[in-house]
Amino acid sequence: MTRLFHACPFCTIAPPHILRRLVEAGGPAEREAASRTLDMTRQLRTARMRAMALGAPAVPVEAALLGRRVSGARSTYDADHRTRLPGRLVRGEADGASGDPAVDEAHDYAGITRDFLRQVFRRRSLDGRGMALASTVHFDRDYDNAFWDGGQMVYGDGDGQVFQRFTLCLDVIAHEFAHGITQFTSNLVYFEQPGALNEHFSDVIGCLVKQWHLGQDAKDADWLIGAGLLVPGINGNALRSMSAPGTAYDDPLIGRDPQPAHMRDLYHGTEDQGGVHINSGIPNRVFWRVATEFGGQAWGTAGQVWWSAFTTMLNARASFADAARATIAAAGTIAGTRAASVVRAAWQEAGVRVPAGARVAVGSPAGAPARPAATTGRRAKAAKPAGGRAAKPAKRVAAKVAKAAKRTMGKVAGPAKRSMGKPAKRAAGAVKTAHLPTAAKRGAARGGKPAAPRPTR
Amino acid sequence: MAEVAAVEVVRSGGFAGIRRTTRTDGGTLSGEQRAAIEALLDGPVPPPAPGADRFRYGVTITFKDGSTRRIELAETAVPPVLRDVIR
Repeated sequence: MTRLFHACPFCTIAPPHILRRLVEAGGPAEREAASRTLDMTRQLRTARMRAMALGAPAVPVEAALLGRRVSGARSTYDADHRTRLPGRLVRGEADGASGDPAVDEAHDYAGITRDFLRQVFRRRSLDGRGMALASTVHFDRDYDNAFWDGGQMVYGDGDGQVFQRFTLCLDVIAHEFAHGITQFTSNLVYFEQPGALNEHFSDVIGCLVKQWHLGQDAKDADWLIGAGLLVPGINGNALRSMSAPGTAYDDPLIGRDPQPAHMRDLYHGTEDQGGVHINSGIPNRVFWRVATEFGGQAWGTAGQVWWSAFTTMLNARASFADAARATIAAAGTIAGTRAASVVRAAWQEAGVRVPAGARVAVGSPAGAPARPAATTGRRAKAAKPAGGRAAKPAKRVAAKVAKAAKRTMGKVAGPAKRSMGKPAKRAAGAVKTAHLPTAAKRGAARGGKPAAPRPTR
Repeated sequence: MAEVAAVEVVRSGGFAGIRRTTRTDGGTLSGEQRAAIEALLDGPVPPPAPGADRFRYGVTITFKDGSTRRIELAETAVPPVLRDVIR
């Protein structure tokens, strides 16, 4: 096959062994972080060996460890190029590398995503209750896709002509993971605007996990989804760009990136479930705008605001305008009036208008946080004026936390320091819970709605 | 039902969201495949796929008398015998 252009896409994600080497070059603190975030497997192996040395049977100890301590234990399967799921188990939580790159990437990156969620958002696995994580690789033949089937993650090998294997990129795996979280929280309908929001949230989590893993600030990140997935020779860097939707690729073989960045270019057709992978460009750019305006690490204030809005405030049929209202309200609650204005301006720049003072009284003394959809079962009525009783103290704490987050973000630099970042962790934790209404905390702790039943195939 | 002249498939969605069009000449279809196409056209609207990032197929069937029929299919609703045609 001939190519008119030659691009040099490469996966920008540092493989775990490189990160491990980087971290080991650091001080004792970094080493501690490495063992905590990179090698849960080793802990289990050590426990198993110790138990065996003591003459105890290995399996029950391991099972007990897996059951009690490993929240979101991983099982990685091989479909052997067929389409039956989950396939043949090749790597369990406590097993070492299999030697099959697809298996090991799916397994390791699911582990990184799980760790990110636990450390940054205090989320235990997909359902908030430590649900086991199943991934299947080598699905079908020449399969150009990765998907969430309602109960597990599935990855194809790519056809080798356009796509490489879909496990190559951490953000792809985190994206699929996030579809599971959405299913257990807002359960956004996979069609038109709620579907595009569902896609958007997965892209946000994909980018956040990648940036967290690389220890990147918002301004230094590439904001690309699927960088390195297209084979060399296809004219494109990635599949989507959050900072510049519509610019990820342009190649005779696959066409041009169709993502809009503004409501005037919203796709109204029926393909792709009403353009869920197309129109997600609009909220994607809003998030990029907000994260870069806030500065520092995107998983800090911007990530907390989006997490709070998307996991506790949206209902299943939310529109872009609903997401705008929810994120503006969450920003006001978490980081104060100025942050809320930044979020409002970003949505407005994308053509999503939120009339000031309509349903959200952000910044007004009467502003009160929204109740989570999971608790009320109603459409998010973000920050409905509630008499201004709790407004003053909430505002004070918000300013305090915003200040603390700023301090932390200024200091933390590399991946080692980041994963080390006890102050960062504490600040993130404070942001997560300190200002959420009690109902929201309860909703988050419960993990929202119960799971949808596992589909039969 | 008139004889199938061609099957045009527009694949959309998937993680990448890249649109792809493929066309199969009606003459290359097996009897089994023709029967499966008729069953799809006569049957109820197939259910959507659960989960996210699955492919969607817009299938246009052109008959030799010039008429056309169009159906929308989720990846999970494609009959195994048509997997080489609707892909």
